[in-house]
Amino acid sequence: MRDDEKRWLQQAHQGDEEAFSRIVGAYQRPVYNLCYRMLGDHTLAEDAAQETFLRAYKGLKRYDLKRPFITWLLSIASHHCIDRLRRRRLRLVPLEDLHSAPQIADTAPGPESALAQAEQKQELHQSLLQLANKDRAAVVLHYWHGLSYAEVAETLSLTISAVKSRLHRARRELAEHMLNRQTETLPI
Amino acid sequence: MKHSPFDSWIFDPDGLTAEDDQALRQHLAECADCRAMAEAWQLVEARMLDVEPVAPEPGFVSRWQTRLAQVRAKRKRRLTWALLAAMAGVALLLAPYFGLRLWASLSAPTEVALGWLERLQMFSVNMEALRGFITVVVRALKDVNVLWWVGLLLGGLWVSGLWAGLLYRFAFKIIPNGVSR
Repeated sequence: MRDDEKRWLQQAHQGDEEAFSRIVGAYQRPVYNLCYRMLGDHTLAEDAAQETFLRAYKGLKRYDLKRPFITWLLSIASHHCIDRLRRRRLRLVPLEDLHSAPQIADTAPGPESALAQAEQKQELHQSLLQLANKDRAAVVLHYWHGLSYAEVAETLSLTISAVKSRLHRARRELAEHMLNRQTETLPI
Repeated sequence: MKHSPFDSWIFDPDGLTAEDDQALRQHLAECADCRAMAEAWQLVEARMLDVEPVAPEPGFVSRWQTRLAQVRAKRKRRLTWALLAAMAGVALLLAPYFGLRLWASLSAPTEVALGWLERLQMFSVNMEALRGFITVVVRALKDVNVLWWVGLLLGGLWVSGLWAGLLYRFAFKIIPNGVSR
């Protein structure tokens, strides 16, 4: 955590709303990314991310400043997303909508490779949404946010062995999904 | 061909011993299925590590601030309605009692007026008695020595100071560089 973020956090802890707004600006991307990967839709992700920060703001007095803030914040986000998914009682299958693709910098040299990259990202996104909710959360936290097994366990209120088990299962499913796609696209 | 435990090791390479790692490599060289699975996983992992985090649309912070203001306004409205509902509930509970009293007054206005006149008369009598008592006390005190008055005053001040000091001592916690509650 940067020094200015630590200062904002201490000010926000004492009730400074402007300081918390700066915290929102600093952490909007990781929170939004987690919500998007979990819920699969930009509108839902925006709503969930906003709600995450609201809950963090309300619960800031109870937050222990000695704990890593990002872990605590992502814990709120992941639990909120899992609760929403549980209420909806379905595993998401996203729409094929390349026009609403997220804001990702495209460094590909030409239009064909840019399209191929976009397709690959969409395939990966679809594969992720096929996973069980907590498995998906563990994958996103570990691979996108770089959390260790212990940090993922703390964020999701699981044991470390449970996290390893979920990641193992998720990896297998993702690999099988990739193999199936490769088999489907093989020329006859 | 036996795939276990190699099909698990593909997805959990951390913590493998050197011998296990060698055995896994040998198996992957021989087993097409496991090799395909391992390659598929490597591809997925590479893509996951390559993909940038998704960002929200610009203006996220101001949207959040607006939402916070809306939540606060909603909470305030809810509290106001709750307070109004509580007041209405109390009024409904007390309405029968005051209604009956009003009905009694309207049914027999003369008796009610006479009752109030009686109360006023009793009040005047009590005030007169109090005036008489104060007069007697003042006359009796005229003969008291001035020193008694001084002593009474000092005693009163001492008791007040003791009371204030005890209140301060037990209501506030004294800390070395100041006082905190």
